[in-house]
Amino acid sequence: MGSTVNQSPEREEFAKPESRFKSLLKRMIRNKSSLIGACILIFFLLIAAFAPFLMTHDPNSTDVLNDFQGPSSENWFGTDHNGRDIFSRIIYGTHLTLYVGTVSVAVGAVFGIVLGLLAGYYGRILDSIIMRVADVLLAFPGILLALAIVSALGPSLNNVIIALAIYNIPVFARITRGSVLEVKDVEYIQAVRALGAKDAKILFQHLLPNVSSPIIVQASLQVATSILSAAGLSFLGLGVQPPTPEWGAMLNSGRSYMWDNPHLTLFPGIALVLVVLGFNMLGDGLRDALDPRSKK
Amino acid sequence: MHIFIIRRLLQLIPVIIGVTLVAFLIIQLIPGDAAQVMAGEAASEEQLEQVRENLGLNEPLYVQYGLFLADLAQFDLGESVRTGQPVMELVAPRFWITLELAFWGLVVAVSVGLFLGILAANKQNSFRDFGTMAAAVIGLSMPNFWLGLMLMYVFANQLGWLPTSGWGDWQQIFLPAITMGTAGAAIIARMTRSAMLEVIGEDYVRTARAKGVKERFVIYKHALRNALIPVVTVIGLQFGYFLSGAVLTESVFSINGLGRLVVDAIAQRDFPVVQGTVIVLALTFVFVNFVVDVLYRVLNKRIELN
Repeated sequence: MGSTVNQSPEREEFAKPESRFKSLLKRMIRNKSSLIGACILIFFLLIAAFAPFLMTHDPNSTDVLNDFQGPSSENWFGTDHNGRDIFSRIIYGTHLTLYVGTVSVAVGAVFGIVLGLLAGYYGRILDSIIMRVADVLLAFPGILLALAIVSALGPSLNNVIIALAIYNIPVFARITRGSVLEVKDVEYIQAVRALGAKDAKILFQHLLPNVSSPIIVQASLQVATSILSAAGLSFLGLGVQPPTPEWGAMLNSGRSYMWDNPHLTLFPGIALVLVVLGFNMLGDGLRDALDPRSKK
Repeated sequence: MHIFIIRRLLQLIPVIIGVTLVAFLIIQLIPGDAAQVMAGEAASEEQLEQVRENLGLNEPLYVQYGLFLADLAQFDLGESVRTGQPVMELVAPRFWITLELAFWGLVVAVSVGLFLGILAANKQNSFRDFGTMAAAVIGLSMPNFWLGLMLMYVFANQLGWLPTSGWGDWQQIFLPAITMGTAGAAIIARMTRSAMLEVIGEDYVRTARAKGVKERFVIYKHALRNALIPVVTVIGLQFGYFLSGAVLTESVFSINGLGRLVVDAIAQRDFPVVQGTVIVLALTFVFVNFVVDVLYRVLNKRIELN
């Protein structure tokens, strides 16, 4: 037992936690979709981080004499109905979009994962209660639930995040529970249990890492959905309020002047498509990379 | 089969009750005095009392919910705080408009989605496959309200081919239907492609080919038929998303459906109308999912055999 001869080098490598991350990274890079998605997202992260240096104008300074200017060397994406520089407003709005999308998913995921772990591991009544509640929340199609919640709480950035987080909880609860059911009876988990490990340790240290793949994939796709929903709510006037340069709100205020000034709605829309595309491609690519069937 | 349908119907009961409870609780989420929010800042104490009386806000919560359910059972969704009109009267005519809109969106999604999915699966890993799937992921990433605005600008404003807004004429169907259907078409195309590829690898398809059955026949008769089974589920789900997508599409194209109704009601803080619309949309979605489940069951005889 104690002899080191039996321990093959592969086995040792397998035990290292970072090797798993490394192999994921390798597979991600080999997968074109996730690579392109990651590049798009890094691009927007850099824009958000260095926004103060990238903005050519103050995003909120109005210049009525200079309204509705088309794209030019002075205003790259033109100016809006108040003469504000659209390029600078899009740059400034980047962090809002990323923030709403990631925070609402992170909060929803934390609650959803815990509930899903509990439901899947303990089963019985707890499982029934949690999953029936999830069924009810999932019975509201698309942004309807978020719309209803924001309508009551009132329009604001934080309320949009709360509403979207609640919308995300059942999605993660369901996917976590499903994965837990698949792995909870494998020998390895049974062995840990037989050794007398506490439930909390089994849940978070042993089960969670084993069900993380589908959750990671879902998180990326869910950020895409949440960004679209948040922009939709702002477009309806229920999200971030003007004059804050949030992309959905910019589309909403721009649409009244769109006939003669299409650039008011063109550029914020393209920015939205690109960010959402980044998360979708990353998620798609991760799914292929993490899917054991597609491993070569 | 009957047992399956009955069991599935019974499962609907807690979901339906839950949906009404969530919709009921919307008013409880309003920060501060709900009556004040609905009646407005300038409302007198009498008016506030009137609103509370009408909505039963003075009763304990469980009594309120009981009354809410009792009304609901008689298809009574309450009255608008603004106009005093029964919510049912506001919802019913608009419900058909939204349903019609969702139907046309589905027509676009299914026809375009199936066509592109088959096209891509036919030549796996070809340029055509790659191009179709790239288009699908872009279609999936587009906010439908923005797509609607762009379509409107190009086809209504610049080219003048189609009317900008409204509902009723057949020309007014195209732009909203494409707006609604694009994301769905993308999802269905991806689903069809992967389902087809899975089926094409199966033995019976290979046998059919080996027998010398014409390629087109193999694709449509053998492969597509079986590939369609999982696609049906996606189509059903899409219909549900169209119901909520209608909120944005109707706002873009000024269509007087449920989506416009709920957005206007939110702006006017008319919560009985918001609740009523949300309930109708959610229950329709629940019903559609039920139908899809049953349909899936009928189509997939393999499940039944097991």
